[in-house]
Amino acid sequence: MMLADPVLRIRGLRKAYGGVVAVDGLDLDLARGEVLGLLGHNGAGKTTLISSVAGLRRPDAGTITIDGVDLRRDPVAVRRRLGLAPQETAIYPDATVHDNLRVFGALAGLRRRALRRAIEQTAPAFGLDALMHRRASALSGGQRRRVHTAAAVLHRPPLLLLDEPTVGADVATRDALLELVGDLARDGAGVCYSTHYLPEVEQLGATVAVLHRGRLLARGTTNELVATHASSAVELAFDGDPPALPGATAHADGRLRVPADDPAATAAQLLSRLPADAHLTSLALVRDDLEGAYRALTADPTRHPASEVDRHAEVPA
Amino acid sequence: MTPASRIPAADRDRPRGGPSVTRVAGLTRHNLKLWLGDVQVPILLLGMPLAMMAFLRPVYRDTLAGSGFADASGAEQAVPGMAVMFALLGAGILAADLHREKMWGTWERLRASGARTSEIITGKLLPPLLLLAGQLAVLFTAGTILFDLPLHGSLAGLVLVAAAFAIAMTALGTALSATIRSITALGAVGNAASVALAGLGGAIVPLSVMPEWAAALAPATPSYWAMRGFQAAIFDSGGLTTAATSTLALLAMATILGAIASWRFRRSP
Ligand SMILES: Nc1ncnc2c1ncn2[C@@H]1O[C@H](COP(=O)(O)OP(=O)(O)O)[C@@H](O)[C@H]1O
Ligand SMILES: [Mg+2]
Repeated sequence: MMLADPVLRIRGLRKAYGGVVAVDGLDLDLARGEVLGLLGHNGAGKTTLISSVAGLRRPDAGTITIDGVDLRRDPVAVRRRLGLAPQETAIYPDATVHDNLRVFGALAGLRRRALRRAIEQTAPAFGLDALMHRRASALSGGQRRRVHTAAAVLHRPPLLLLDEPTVGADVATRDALLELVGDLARDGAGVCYSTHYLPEVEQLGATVAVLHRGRLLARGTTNELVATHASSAVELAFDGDPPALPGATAHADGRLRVPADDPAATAAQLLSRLPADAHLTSLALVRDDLEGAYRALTADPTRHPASEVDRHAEVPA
Repeated sequence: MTPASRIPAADRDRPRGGPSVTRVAGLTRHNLKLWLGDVQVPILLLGMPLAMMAFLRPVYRDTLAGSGFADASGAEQAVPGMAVMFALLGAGILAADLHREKMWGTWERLRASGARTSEIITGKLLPPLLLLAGQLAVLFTAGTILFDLPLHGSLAGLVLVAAAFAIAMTALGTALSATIRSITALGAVGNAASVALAGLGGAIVPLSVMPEWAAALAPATPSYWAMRGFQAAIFDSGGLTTAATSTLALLAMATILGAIASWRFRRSP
């Protein structure tokens, strides 16, 4: 996806730790006002990507441009255009909520009245107004997480980097955070948001980037990804030899997959037609939602139905 | 919510150059508040050395009398000695504080903020520097009032040496935390180094009664130069020249320690 004036542009980004390649030749654009859900298994490279954009990791190769400024050429100017909430909660435990917000606001360059206003506007959005004079160490994990995220948005940066912001958050906190992220994006901020909760991404109407072993597997809107990669189906597992079912393909582990437009109806049909000696051990309805698309994209290739070719290749000629 | 587009991202478009007062002041104030809110600071940096001065002064009076200072009160050794030893302890506390900043994850946040490295270093190190300087000021003042510490030489010399020593101790704490990565090792090494440097520098036992090998090593320690400078002012031995030599030696050591710290910090990923 090429954008005219992206808030974030990444080209050929590569970062290895010793022998481990964490990010492997990645290109990515993020538009102003766009919320990007960054998806990927643990170790896929999400945090390395976000940390590299924030200037905390030095890439081995590639360029990162934020708001038109090259990170390597002017790291300070770049950092002034972003707000980062790292994956690990990072606040001062011995300081009050207010003092935590004040120091991060000051570091973002907010002065007296602007700083006070920023705190007054941001604290209620995170439900922190009643906690302002509590020491951070006396807060619950979820409350600390809110302080942590609030500290990243005080200065309303054009680029917001949130690394798993909803980890450990309760339902109300999560809803409030999603609403806030939506508001910030509508006001023009680009938001890069890593998460393992796919329904959040759908709720936000976010676009999606799927990272797998440091590579970008897919990039697009939720609808595009679902249309391209998800297909609804019924998956059945049997104890012993599976019966022959029309239209079924076999996974490497013996599970059968039967494509279906209406998985529930197809499941009912299949059940009624199973031979009496078949020992069904599990039945799953695979829906064509983001989660289905994500699973299809990131499934281990040797276990994926589409890898018939690979398995044939292993048979000696 | 105010639209992001309407809020200028702070001073995003300010002309480059000079340091940002907002950032340095904000970080300094924050750290000063954390330091002053920490109960171990007044106890370890002021209470303990004052108690030690009271206990040790009679012993030092006899020791000094034996070395030809017949009318010494003992404060001539007790006050600068304990001030030096517990400023070294202050360097250890600073090292632990810098370490905690990494443990809390806030160090990464500082690095990802809009502040320049120089602004972060200033905001982070100015408070402990002021604290160490304040510690020396309180201990010498209290020594004068409570323990009859004389000042035969130059007050300016004493102040100069104290300032240089506070700078050297700030650099030492920073270098310690940059060099030793585990908090347990830092605690052990920090305490051992405080005692070793205090001992070698003549803060615990006057140099005149130290074993020869120890006296030979002494000039390699900041505590030696601090003691020499302080006692020059107290006894008026060598006057401002000795104070100036001590000050320069301490500043040179601070520079070396600062270079080690920045080299080690730069190498972290
Ligand atoms: N500081 C580090 N040192 C060594 N390896 C690292 C470091 N940080 C991350 N890695 C490795 O890089 C890969 C990507 O990690 P990360 O970016 O944290 O992924 P994610 O955030 O998607 O879980 C993993 O294999 C991880 O083990
Ligand atoms: Mg991560």
